[in-house]
Amino acid sequence: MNLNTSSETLQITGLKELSGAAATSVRDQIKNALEPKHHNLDVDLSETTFVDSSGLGALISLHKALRARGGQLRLINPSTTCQQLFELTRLHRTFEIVKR
Amino acid sequence: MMMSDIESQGGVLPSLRLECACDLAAVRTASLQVRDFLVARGLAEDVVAALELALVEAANNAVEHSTEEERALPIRIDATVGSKEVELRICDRTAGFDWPEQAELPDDDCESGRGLFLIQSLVDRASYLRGKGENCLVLAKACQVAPQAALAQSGNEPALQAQLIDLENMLDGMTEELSYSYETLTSIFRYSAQLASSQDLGSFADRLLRDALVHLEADCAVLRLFDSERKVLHAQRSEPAVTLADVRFEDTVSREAEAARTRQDVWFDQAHPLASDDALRAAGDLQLGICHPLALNEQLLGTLTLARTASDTPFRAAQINLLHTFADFLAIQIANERFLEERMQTQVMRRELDIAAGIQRSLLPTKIPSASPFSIAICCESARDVGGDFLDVIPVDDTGVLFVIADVMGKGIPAALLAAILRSVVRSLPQKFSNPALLLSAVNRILYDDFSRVDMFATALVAYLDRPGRRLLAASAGHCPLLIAQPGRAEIQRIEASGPPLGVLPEVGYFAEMAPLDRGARALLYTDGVTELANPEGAMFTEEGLSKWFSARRHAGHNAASLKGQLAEELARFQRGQTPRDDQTFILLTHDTP
Repeated sequence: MNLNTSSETLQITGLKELSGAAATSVRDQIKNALEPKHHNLDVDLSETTFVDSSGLGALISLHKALRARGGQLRLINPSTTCQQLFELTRLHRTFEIVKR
Repeated sequence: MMMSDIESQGGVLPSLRLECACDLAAVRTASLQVRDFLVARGLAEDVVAALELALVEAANNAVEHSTEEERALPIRIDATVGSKEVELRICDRTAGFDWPEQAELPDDDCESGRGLFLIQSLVDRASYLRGKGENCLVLAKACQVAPQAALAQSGNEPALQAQLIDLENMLDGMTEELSYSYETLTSIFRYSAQLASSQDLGSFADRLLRDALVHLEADCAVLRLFDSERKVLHAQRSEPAVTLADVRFEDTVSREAEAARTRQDVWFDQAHPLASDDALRAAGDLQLGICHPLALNEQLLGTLTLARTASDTPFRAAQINLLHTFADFLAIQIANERFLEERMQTQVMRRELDIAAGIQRSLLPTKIPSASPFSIAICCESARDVGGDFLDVIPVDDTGVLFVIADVMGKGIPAALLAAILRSVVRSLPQKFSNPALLLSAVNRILYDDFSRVDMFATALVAYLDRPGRRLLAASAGHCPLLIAQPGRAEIQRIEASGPPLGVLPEVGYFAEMAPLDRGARALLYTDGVTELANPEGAMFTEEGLSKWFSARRHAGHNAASLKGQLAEELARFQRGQTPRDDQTFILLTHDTP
């Protein structure tokens, strides 16, 4: 997983999986990396091949953290399988999903 | 991890048995083994992905429900690929839990509790066998191809078959995504063209709502505009057309108001239905929908709601993206229209001020009467926001001159019109010109009804110059004092003679004050536009400043015209290039000794 800052946005790339115990650790790493200047969080899901309910929980937790600071969590280019998972759990209504 | 691949050589169904430690990391490794096994059997990627996720959820569930002791015992996983379906068995040694008939999704903000819902949604059949010290979850899912047929072929055929199915699925997904992208793009081009050519929000919105219904497969669309003065969301348009009541911005029942307040999408469906008194109920029997806030540059413009009556199938992500694009265009068009309205209002106001300035100019005396040995100069500079200042200089017989200076409360056409009326009324009472107190009482009596009807009033100062007697007789209706500078005296004489402004009380008895004028004396009548003139720091010129300036020029040698020029320069110097907000009106009278 790579973390980069672009002006007000913290960008996460290279996320292979978001599941089980790893999801909690990813969530905590990202939360620790969030600085006051970070208004938005972009999580690139283009390389993410597997997300389970723990992974969804981690994304919801990040979404709430960003909302609390008046910003936004954006999910970039999720695979069709991920997208279907968001739709199945109706979380596509909560998350801002961006295709680039 | 123990693994025994008891894949059959013939007759018996291909199957896989694994035992993994009761922890999350081991579960994930085992699920990847199962995935490889299923892929090698020629199963389609979507079936494999669904089973992989269901397996992880089931086994993670077992881990999370286990005690310290139970965690020492492994989880057993069996995968069997039949001709019509794949079966997974996950057996654990925990105390188990109650299996729900129909798992529900938690609230969107909940960070856990989706596992069982996912398992039930991803497979065709799920049964939980809870035993003493051992539980077994059986999951079955139909296959899209007959694995037997795939197996019957030799070499790499199964893998090729799987690749082919993956490609087909990917193509299906891409086609759907592309068709939405195409719709989005064509809509963007069409709306861009319309934005440039039309300024009519109505037809633009109609077109857009109809398009949105088609592309989102929705049955009802409602556009509301935010009225920031009344704090309501006004129903602007709906498809199909229905009458909808306005919604208060603070309405806690309305989902549309919630979307407007939170600036976020708000959903309703069978699990979170509309309240019985939600204004949207009037639009029909809405099963499911999304309320989207319309905003531009942080400014709330309204809401756009799309809903389904015929089905409760949720909108897809691509459809929601399309809705957001539509909403962005609508927001631009609404903002455009509001901008045009504001510009038009500014033009109307500008025109009104031009008219008012014209009226004000027409009230000024066209000719200043000669009053030797006195000289008279007037100044009436209109500010940008035309006020109700006016002055008049009227010769009386051969021996006197009447000065009138007044300030009608307010600005624009109403103030200018009342100033015009005041001027006419004063001019209609020539028999009272030599008695300012009686003149003001008469003017007040005549104007009281007109002024009080429109809740306005005016301050005025009237001064009669008796040329042979060399004296001024002045009366004031709440106006700024008359200032007199005598050559031999350093202090400025103030004639206040103040009664209430005109139009406040129906009957007022004013009184006049008499001021003898020495040789070389000068008098100044002004409105508060002069003393309240502000410099860039916000400090005012004040009556004190004016008196000081006037006192310094009490000695002979300046006639009225020259003093007028000097005062205008002094005021310009004080405000240092600022445009005055109020009119600058004054009259200068000097006794010019030879």
